[in-house]
Amino acid sequence: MKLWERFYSKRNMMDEMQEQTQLHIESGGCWLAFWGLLAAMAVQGILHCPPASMAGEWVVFMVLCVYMLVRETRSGLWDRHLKPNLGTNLLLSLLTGVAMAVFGLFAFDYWNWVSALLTGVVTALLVFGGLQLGVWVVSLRRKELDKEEKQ
Amino acid sequence: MAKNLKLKAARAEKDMTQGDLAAAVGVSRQTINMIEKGEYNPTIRLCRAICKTLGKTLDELFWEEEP
Repeated sequence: MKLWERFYSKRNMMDEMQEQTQLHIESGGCWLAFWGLLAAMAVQGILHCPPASMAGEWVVFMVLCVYMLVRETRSGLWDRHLKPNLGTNLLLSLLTGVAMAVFGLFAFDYWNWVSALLTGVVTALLVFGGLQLGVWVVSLRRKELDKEEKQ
Repeated sequence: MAKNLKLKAARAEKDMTQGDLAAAVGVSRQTINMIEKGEYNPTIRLCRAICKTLGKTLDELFWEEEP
């Protein structure tokens, strides 16, 4: 037995139930990190911290988002509960826009409601465009995967 | 999920403990316990391994009759 084999096994030592439980825990940790980072950045924004001070959080958050987006798109996956249709996307973008407008009221100086409103509208439009694009790309990928599975 | 009493009975028939069955199919005793309690839905691969070890078919151990 090699020395490192006393401490580490290349083989997965978990059985399928333990593996599923582990994945479930890791998934919870991933979402905790996602919402935790978002909350941390929001608080820093409201406290008017300089952008450089939240660069670390922003980089980790974006890496996490890009990783999940790419992996899920390649696998042809959308959300577990939210339906990929126009109505859902409109509602989600509206909610995000409102959330960003409210955030803008606190984060921008002097309660600048015009800037907050513009931020909300631009965010809603961008989110709507992103979601529609996402639905379209995922549906294309789903068709491609279905074709592969048939062959 | 309902308790899997058929599995428990088949294991007892072979005079095996949960630990014996777990070792024979290469999983933890906790996993066998959870399957018997109906708290874990095993993969078909594990179901087949359990059936082979206990000398039963999939239907005999894992098929649930409609109430």
